Amino acid sequence: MYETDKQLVQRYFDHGATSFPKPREVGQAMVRYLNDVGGTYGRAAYGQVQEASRLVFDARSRMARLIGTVDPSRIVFTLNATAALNLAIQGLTRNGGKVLVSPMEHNSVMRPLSMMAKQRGVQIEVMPAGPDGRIDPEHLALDDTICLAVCILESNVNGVRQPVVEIKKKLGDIPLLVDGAQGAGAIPLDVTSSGIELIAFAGHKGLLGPTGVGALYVDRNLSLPPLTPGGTGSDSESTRHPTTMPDALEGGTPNIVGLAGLGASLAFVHTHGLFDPAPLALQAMKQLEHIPGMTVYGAKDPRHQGSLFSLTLEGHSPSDLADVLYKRHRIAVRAGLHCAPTAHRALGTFDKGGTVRIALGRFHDRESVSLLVQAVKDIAQ
Amino acid sequence: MIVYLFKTIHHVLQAEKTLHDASVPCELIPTPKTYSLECGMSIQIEPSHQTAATTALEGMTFKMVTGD
Repeated sequence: MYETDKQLVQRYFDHGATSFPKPREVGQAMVRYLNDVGGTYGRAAYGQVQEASRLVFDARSRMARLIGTVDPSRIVFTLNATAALNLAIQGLTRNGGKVLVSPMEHNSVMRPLSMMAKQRGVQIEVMPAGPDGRIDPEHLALDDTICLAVCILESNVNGVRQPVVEIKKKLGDIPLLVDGAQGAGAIPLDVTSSGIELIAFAGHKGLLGPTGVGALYVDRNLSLPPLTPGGTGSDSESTRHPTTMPDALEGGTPNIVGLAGLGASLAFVHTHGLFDPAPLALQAMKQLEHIPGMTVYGAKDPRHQGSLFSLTLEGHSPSDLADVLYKRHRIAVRAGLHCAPTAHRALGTFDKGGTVRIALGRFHDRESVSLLVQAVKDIAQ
Repeated sequence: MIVYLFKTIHHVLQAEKTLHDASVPCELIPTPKTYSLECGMSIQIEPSHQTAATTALEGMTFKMVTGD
């Protein structure tokens, strides 16, 4: 299923940053494109271009299938989830308009919104939420100035999963942008039944693809301006960027080698099914929370827990704990603020230097959890 | 020959897959210069397959022209 040392796999708890390992088919598809296919996307019609173009088409079709839309042209490929979020945020925020956010947003949302606040006078309002940052859609107050709501699917700090379907119901016609960087590949998503208008994806996390590929789903009733107008291989006589999706939001040669890998990783996901590491995360949390001096940060209700959580240990700064975990036990984790100062402020961990994040993945098992728990116990003694 | 023109490469490939699934033989070709306002790749079929192709592509946006 993968080609690397099992010990390395079991001790890798940084899936919130990027998943490891990738299914072996991912690397094979990328190498095959580089060595045996070549050609660019749709800029000619000879065999290599046809094959390269089909790789992109395949990845786009598989992304569409993942989220339950029959129209793959509504999937736009980007460099990463941040680029996808910027495309939506910069495209839909209007002068003086209000944007609703959860208290758990990543800087990939908060920084573009801060820029829009400065440039367009956008107001940012935090939706009502519980102490774990989970939105309470019942108490959501709406008004005519709201132009967009943004909500992370699963927090990259405490792993709390947001009720995005219920939020969308409450929002009515106000578009909802879901940051699916965490949670995609684990949580079933259906844009057709939920009516969610925008979802941003990272290809390299739960979708198991390579870095350098992301995507944005855009509902057919929404129209956005491109952030990178340029060549598309279509309508080449005109200096105006085309308006037909997906070209409308894509400019320049795409990351074909990355998309070859993403197509292969999505084929793996479709063949083997979604995988939710949340039960393993809950097992680990349950065993760790009894350690003296330990604080575990997760969802208040276990039903809302995702595949990652955070912890702090008295007497150890997060960075020291992460360092010792690696040097003594080869356990790989990420410490600090996780590019999410807003979320850490909401959880009260900002002033403590953040947390140590434990992020489980597709190839973990009970043995991985035992290794982690034993390592933390050893340090806490 | 009959040439089907589309707005984007994605739609060309969508059409190619649709025709393939419907067992309609087709070939990807560079879009003839006369019609180059569309995207750079088009689909060519034999005239005898025109009815089957047009039926299979129902619902898609395309322009159909008679090639050289």
